[in-house]
Amino acid sequence: MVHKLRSQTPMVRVAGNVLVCAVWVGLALVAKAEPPVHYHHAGIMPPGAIGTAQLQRGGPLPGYFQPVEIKAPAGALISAAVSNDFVDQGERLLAGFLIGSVYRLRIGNIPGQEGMEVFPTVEVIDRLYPPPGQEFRFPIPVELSQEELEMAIAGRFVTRVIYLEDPESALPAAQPRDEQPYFEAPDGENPLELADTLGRPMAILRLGGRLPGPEGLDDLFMFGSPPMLKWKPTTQAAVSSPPELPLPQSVQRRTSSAVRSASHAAKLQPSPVR
Amino acid sequence: MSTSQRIMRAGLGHGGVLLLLAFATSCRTMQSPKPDSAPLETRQASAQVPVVNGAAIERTPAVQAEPFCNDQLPIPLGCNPPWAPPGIAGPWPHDEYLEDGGDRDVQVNLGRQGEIRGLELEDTVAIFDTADGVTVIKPSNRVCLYAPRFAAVRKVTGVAQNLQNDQPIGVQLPVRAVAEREELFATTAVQPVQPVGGIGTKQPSIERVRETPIPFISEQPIRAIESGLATYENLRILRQGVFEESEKARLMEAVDAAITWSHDQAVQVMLNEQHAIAITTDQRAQVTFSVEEPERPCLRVIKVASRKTAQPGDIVDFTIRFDNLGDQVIRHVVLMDNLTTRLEYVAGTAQSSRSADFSAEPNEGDSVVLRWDFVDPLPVGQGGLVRFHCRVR
Repeated sequence: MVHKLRSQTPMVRVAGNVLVCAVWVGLALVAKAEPPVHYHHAGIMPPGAIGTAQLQRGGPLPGYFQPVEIKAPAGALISAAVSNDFVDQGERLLAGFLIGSVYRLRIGNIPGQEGMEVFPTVEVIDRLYPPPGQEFRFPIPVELSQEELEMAIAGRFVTRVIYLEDPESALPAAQPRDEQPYFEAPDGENPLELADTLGRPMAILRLGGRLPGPEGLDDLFMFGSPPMLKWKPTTQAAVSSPPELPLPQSVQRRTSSAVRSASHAAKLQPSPVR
Repeated sequence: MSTSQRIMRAGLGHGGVLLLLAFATSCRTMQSPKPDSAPLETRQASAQVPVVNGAAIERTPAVQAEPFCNDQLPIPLGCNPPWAPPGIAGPWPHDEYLEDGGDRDVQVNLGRQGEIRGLELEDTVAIFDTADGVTVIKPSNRVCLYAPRFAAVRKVTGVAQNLQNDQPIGVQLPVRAVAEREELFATTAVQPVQPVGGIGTKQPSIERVRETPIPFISEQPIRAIESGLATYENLRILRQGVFEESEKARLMEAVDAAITWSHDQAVQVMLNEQHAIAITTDQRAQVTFSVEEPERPCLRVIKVASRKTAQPGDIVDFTIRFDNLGDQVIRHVVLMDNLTTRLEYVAGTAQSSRSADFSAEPNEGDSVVLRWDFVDPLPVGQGGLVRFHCRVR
């Protein structure tokens, strides 16, 4: 027995088509009206919170010493936290920072503000993937400008989110080597969210708002003095070899010279800054 | 002549069963390509080819390969490029590299009036006319420079200053309302926000281009190239258009590591007045076979850069080598390079080994489109060089 399809009147067919179109338009509107992205992080969160959450996202981030170059105004003195104390470094500091850790710095000898000190923090939240051997040639630049140091001395709190520009949306203008352009986040805007819009956030610099307590330089203030890998521009070999990448056992066994192994192992250790 | 007779005539019939099987497989692939198999060279079907002034347009894609990662070494030590999430093609991440060359996203094509459309930033293509009136668009390979650039977003906050007038003590007057004046720091700024650039997954290309042999080494006239060849471009494939396996490593240093210079582009053999192709790879046993090629044009475009990494302000030299690997003279050769936003062309540095009309027009990325219109037809086996300098912004 063959069942015949019921014939539909033109009115019914038109109504059906209209209904289908309405469903499609409704689905399209629902798809377009997606809620905006909700950011779990904000630039005003306490130091270390963003980097710690970043480590939980996976990828080759834990244990990697991301080179960071910190530059202060001419004449200023940068001191890094080592074993709950500050060790002077000079106007510039080029070192590998662990991702997710918070590094406390002390800036002294500020031009025009002699006798004043600022204690900024640097938090690295992502890493670069340069060609092997070029890690310290492409550090994340963290600039401490004279204007921001004076703001911190005046009691204001400065948050600077350093991000990697997207080449496809980069500003078509030449960038000086020693001057990092920045955008001012409007009032009420999240600087981390804005940096995420413009590129890939790499590090957060926080200036002002915190001084050592009456207990002195304790673990709480120094964030535990996490290890850093200071780059020593002594030989070209030190530049070409990635010191922060531990070699596997099989590779280490193949090195013939004991002296070479010893020097290489010494280079691999994240020794405290001196 | 049957296929077995061809083998015996070429003196190549001693390879045994393996050779015969491989030969039969190769012949099947070339004589009757199936729709689902990767053709050696992709051409648009004649019914879908757009016609411009009576001329059809063809496209020849560039060759790409998957990145390599050694499982014996820890991430990212054993990977080239260093490390990339699964499913993302190299080089990764894209925001750390400046790319130039190839034909990304929208493919370059010609409009009804012969105008060039779809030439986006980073695209480098060569356009030429064949003897039978077909216009062919050939993209170059892609060159990648590691040149990350940083900027910052600043947020300044502070304690609001409150000024409050208290009521004087001892005044016998009705209580009045307390006046309050509040001063806040102005921290509002207006700035344009760039659109978000997304990282996309590009399909790996498994198409291979089989190119016909060059029966002789082309004599490259050096007329307009100054100061000889630099170290990065002193390769035989750039000097004479002949690919040498021993130069593969250096060539990979100069071009994108994701591009494979396969055996198809290294074919340079003649056997008994017939075009023969010798294939030697590490993926299959050595196979030699002969085949009669149909007449078809082919232009190879190679682009190399003088360095793999660059800081803002550095000068990068680009060299593009093109060769007519087909079996017919091609005319109206046009070479175009649409520079990306962060590459600034250094005026007056464009050089060409063949007579060409050069122009540099602004593009949408505040950079320029470099264009060489070559005056003379390009004979079979001949090629040329163009060279220019760019400053990394």
